[in-house]
Amino acid sequence: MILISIACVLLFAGSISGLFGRSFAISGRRTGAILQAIGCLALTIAGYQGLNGPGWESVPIVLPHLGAIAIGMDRLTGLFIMLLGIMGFSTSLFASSYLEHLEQRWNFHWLPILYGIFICSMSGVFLARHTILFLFFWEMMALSSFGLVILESWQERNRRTGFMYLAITHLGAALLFLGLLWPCAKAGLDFTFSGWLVGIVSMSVKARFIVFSALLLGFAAKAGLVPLHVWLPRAHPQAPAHVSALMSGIMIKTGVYGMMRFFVTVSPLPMPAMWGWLLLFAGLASALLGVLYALNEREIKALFAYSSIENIGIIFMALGMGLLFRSEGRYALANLAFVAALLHSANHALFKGILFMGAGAIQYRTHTLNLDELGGLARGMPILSIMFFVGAVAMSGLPPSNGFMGEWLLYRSLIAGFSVSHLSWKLFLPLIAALLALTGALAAAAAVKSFGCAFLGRAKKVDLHIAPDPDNYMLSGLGLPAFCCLLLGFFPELFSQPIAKMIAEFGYGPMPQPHASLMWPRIAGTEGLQPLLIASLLTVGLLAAWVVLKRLSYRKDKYAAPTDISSIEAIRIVDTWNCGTPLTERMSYTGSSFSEPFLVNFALMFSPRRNFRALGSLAPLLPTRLTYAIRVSKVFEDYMYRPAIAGILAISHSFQRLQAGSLQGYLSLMFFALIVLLIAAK
Amino acid sequence: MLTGIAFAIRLLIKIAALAILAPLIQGCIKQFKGRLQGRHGPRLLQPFFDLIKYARKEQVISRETSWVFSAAPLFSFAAVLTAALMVPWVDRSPWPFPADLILFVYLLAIPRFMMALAGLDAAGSFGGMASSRESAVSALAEPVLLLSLLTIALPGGSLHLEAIPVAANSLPLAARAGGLAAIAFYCVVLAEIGRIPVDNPDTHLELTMIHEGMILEYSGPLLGLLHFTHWIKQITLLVLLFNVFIPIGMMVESTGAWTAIIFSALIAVVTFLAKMITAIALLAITETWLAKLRLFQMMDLLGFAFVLSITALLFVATGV
Repeated sequence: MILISIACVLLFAGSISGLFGRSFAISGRRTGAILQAIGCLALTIAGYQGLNGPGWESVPIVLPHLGAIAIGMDRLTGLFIMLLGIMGFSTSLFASSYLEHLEQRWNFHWLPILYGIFICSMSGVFLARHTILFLFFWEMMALSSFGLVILESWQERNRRTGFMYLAITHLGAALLFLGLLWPCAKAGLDFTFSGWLVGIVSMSVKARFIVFSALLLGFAAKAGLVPLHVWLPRAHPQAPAHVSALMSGIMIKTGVYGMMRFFVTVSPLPMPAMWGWLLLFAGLASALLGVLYALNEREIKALFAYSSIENIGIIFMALGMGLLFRSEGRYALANLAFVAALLHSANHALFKGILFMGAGAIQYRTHTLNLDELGGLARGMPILSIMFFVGAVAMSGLPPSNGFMGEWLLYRSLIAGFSVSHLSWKLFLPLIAALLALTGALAAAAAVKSFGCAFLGRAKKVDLHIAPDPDNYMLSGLGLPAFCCLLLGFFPELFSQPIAKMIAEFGYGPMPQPHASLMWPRIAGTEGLQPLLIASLLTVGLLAAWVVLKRLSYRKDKYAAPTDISSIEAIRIVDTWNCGTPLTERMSYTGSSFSEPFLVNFALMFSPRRNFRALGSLAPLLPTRLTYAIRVSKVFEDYMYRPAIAGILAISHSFQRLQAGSLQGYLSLMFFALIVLLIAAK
Repeated sequence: MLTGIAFAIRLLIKIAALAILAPLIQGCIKQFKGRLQGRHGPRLLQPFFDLIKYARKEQVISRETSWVFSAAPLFSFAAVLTAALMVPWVDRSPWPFPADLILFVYLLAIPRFMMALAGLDAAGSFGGMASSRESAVSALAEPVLLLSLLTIALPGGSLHLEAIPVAANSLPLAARAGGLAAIAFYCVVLAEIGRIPVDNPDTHLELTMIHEGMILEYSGPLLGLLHFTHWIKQITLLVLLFNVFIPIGMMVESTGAWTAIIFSALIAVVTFLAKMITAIALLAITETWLAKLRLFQMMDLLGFAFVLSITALLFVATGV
């Protein structure tokens, strides 16, 4: 409680000091950001205590009609608060330098304030134990993030994106109001979480179905689950990079938190298997669509935003598996799936933080995020490239990174479903596991595209001399999550053990038993995985190969750095082989050319429309210039949102006829409406 | 302690066997393929001579490259070696470290990831083209690889690579599901080790190459390491194909009289060699018999394999 208060005070102090951007000799920006970082550190400690220790609950205020406005800390809250603290700490450090190039923008002064409110409201969402308070913080989070998205509101595109985000997030919030307040009203206007629980138990099956549907839609809209994902790839790239990192890492996880809180933790009701299947298939659709669109994106931040949709899909698949297993009474397996969901949430927050901040650092140096223009940054920014590489490996879910560990648990729980003797389980779950493998391979390709086209090869339109590594504040902002990614890859039990304890406290059946200190939680039928052994085996192989190669090739200067290859005798530096002609940067593969085979292979879904034109006076035969444009259809936007919006507009246009401009007409219309309402109310 | 030492000894034996057999099998395939095509073919030991030659050469490195270029072969080698050590060869006694097939599939994804990056690193078109193609092909291959192994592993209830042959007491190949999964798995093996009809390992014709395109810029010891890594991957997948689908002759847990142990070990080694000879013949015949597919027809081949493994899953799930 004290730590949380300290954190809030520091976050606001940071906001205020950030307000005085250039007024004083010492940079208000840096002081503010560092105050905010310390505030986030306090959050991290509070979260760590909550995750590992006993929780607490306190009632700061008692309001006349709303009752005790309680906040509380338990392991679930602690996990998310700790993640928020870690990521907030890194992003604040990162921001202390990154904001430099945004200072010139005219409404920059809003940024530190909104940023402080954003972090505080997210921790409020996790801490609230009262539905009204929860919704209050939920709205505050939505509004502050809306403010952060429309910082560049002089651009038409930015405003449109912002309003789209606002619309969808409020649609979700309206559903949440329904889902949270209706049961509370049933329970005699008891607005605490326990009141909600009393209300939902007393409801009929149909009403309960409506409540849970409303909650699911509300949380899915925030999480960016397909088909409510459309705002996400637009809004995330518009915000400043460190805010995108928080939005993608933590804000969309509030949806996951809400699902855990209201579907899993506080709801002891037997959920029909239908909910599990629904979440599983919605998650699968998100994962596949998200990664396919990610592959096709040209802008780094949009690519990562789509990848967030993919990872949210993976998390929802795990949640769905948990609910499915619960409906079958397989509580141990259900718990395994919930561990997978939470662990992957944590992992995704960490690696997506690296990637978004890395994208921000690229933008800071090169002023572009277009993969078709970037390239070759690794030679100027070796340290940044290594951190980005860690993020890319984790994004691909490759061992021994943390990304693999979460996915591994999901695979295990999917495959464990084969032991349930329903044909649909036996058939669909292994198939879904295979499609998850497809997702993983496509995610790896997207990671190759983002890392390879930005950091490797030759720069297409960027001057590499102006792109050295960013300063230490930014690098340490990236370094912390990168370190956490590797740490959790080698020692996943650091998170998985407390999560397993948390899930044991839900009170459902046996728990994944920790098998040995270095191993995974292990339950009957699934053998453990020893990340440390695998990692050490990998390392031994790596070292052996390295030593042998050193012996063979670096004969003269034994320990010259591999980057400084010119100092070594046995290595000759030459041009890249290009059939004997000089290599130009236009020959280097761009992001678009990299994803071309995927467009062809998945043409059914993308339905790409290519526009290839030869220009010049001797046009088709001897063109002097070629232009190529491609448009890829977005399934849900083209076939769901566009017709829906068009329909709504058409209906509202048809009402225009009533708008004749005569006052008498309007008055009589209102009068009739009143009469109709009175009759209806009778 | 004793098990630890035994484990270390087994590990060393396996690494030694890998170092000898992986290049040898490559030599045998080339030799046999040559014979089938009416050529003499290179010597059986040629891969060893190649490795020695590569080790002595100087490195020629493009000026466009970064640290990824040197790191990629090392990471690939380490990952492939780890994956190779998980696959049971002659005995099916469990390894002390868990090695389930999900980890195996993901370990094999590491070299693809690293080499796709390395292909982009040198800024040439060939490298980029190859990385892009490799990513596209492997994205289609990975689900089939997992699903075809799963269909065999699921009824046994264990995902451990060495437990799959134990659980499948009979011959999975003879069963309907096993047969279909075996064909699917073989298609993936062809894609994974870059052989006709997916990729032509013998060509440097720029527009057709996938694997060779990514390693085009490598030379000297690093190139040798890449070839060696590729051969280890090849033998590992072939062994897995045979030991999962035809798990005959493999040594069981070593208990009983030492004569019996030696006898069963002998049988296991002999059947293992016989399996490898069959694998060599299979690959050589496939490569001679088929032509390389067009790049975008790969989708058909791997889609066919995917449908086969789904059908196999259907048989397994219904228990027909």
